Amino acid sequence: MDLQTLLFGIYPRSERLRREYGRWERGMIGSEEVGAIISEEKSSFYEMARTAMLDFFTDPLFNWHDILRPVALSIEGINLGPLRRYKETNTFYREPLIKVVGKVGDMESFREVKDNPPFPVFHRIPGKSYLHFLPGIYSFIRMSSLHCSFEEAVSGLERAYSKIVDQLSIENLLIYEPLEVENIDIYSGLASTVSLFLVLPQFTGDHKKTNVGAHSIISHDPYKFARQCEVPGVMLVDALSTKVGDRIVDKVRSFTDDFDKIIVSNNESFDFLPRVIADRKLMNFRGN
Amino acid sequence: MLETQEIGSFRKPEYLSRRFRSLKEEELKELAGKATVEIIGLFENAGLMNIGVGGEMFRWEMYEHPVQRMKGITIYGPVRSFDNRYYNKGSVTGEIKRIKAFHLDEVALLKKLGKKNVKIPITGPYTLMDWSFNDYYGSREELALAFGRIVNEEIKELKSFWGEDELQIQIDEPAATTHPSEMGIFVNSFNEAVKGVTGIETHLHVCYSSDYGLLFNVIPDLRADVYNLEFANRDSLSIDGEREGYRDVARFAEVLSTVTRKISLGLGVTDVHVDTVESPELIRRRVLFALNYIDPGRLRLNPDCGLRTRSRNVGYEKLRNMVLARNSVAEEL
Repeated sequence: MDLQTLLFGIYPRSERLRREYGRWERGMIGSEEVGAIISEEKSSFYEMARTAMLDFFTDPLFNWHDILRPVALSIEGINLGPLRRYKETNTFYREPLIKVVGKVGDMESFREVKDNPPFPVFHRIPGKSYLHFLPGIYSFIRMSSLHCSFEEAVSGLERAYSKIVDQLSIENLLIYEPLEVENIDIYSGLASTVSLFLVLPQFTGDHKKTNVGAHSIISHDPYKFARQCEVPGVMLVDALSTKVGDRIVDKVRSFTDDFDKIIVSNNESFDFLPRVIADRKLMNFRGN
Repeated sequence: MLETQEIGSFRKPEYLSRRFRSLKEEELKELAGKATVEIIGLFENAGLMNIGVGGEMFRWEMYEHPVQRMKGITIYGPVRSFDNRYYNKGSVTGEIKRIKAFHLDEVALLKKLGKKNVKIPITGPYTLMDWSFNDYYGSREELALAFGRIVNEEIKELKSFWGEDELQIQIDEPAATTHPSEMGIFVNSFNEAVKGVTGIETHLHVCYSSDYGLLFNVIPDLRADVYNLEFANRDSLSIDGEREGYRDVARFAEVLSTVTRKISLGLGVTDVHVDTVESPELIRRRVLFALNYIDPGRLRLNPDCGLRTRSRNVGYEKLRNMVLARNSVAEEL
């Protein structure tokens, strides 16, 4: 069996970056300076991911204050609302207020934005390992306050995501739906233009009727989507525990006879871990 | 009637906050004591009837303070709360035990100062469990109960030190309703924390819940006397508003009428997340709205939560206006 490893989501900021963000917030350093530090920190992360021999990893999103914010700030008609609890955790995000899903702004250049570190949104590196990251459309909407119809929001974000893919010339894209989702047909358009990795920890629909053409669908049960994508994935590396050797090899071994190829991923952003533990888990991703 | 109280934290003076983490134990005790005396003066000047512990000057943060006084917990580093704000989240890696009292220094100072009208906030067992990584206990319930036993030890030691006079203890449980399926764990761990304690008025503080109904449903099973809840943050700042933020008061009153235990409501009347200082008239309207459902003898007034996020001036003004509103309502009754 060919085992591939994938790490997605926000990676915890280093102490240096947290400190520099603090100085930036207090006006002690400028946005260009903090932008250069973000870039350096992302480069260090990519080096670490290469050393750990990860097959796939998303941008570490060090300049994302939460998993929705840079996308919300890039689309006209979406504003930021109050802090809301993310799932049942003790981490909070700013609730997007969606009046209308308008034009997509520039996500690629350096620019200052309100209530978030400066853009660009992504710092891509060449190669097939790098994945762009976007929050799932349904989770985005469910985590927002809607001032338009649900259908308008869905079709608007579908169009916006397509524009983002064009603007950034995305080839490999990971979409993470942290909340319950019943239907993923809206992703078939994206799957026809990019190599799509869908992370669906809480899919409640009929998986047998699901075939959007994704390269990989990653869930808690790889059997569920085994026929619905090229390479099924399973979320085994626990971002909600500080234990490092949590018997992942044994769990993967149980799939050996049933799959030619499987992706093993984390079950949530490593941002929920202290950085020192996240680094250990990253370096042990293959050896776990 | 309509006793005014604060909830817990207040902005630390700079001479304390700047050096808090680098101070040696004795230095910290001295500076925190000095700050406590100052803040108590400020509370008394504002007219507060209950001064809490004088703004929690001995504590940096509600989670880290108790877990640093336990064994079995390792803090590997901070995790994000929001934006670029982080807190140290502990990992439970062994059997947890209390190795040092959490709040005895504070309580000793209050006793020395001869203060009687105090209320001691203690972080609750369910929140301690929910905010920790559990890498040792078999289940979340097992860990919550273990924290419950530790909080129980702390309360008993504080009471024993305090003596015969009645003591108010406030168990802070901001996480109480964050996992709807775990309300049973919350109840059991809370009751474990107050098991066998006597001569204590037990308060529960919950804030920013997305559904107070979950809490109200379990009140008959909870051994708490006073429920200090946040409301102002949900309400409009308009004096003529319909007081939509206080609708849950009616639901609380329904529970109050069905339980045999004598319980009271601590009504959050000022929002600790905004600098806008609510006028005495706005607060008065909020209190009058609540009095449509609750007898004045069962109603206390407080800010939504600790005021540490506001400047000292804003915090003082908010408390002062709360007192002015209370006095105005009391005259009308």
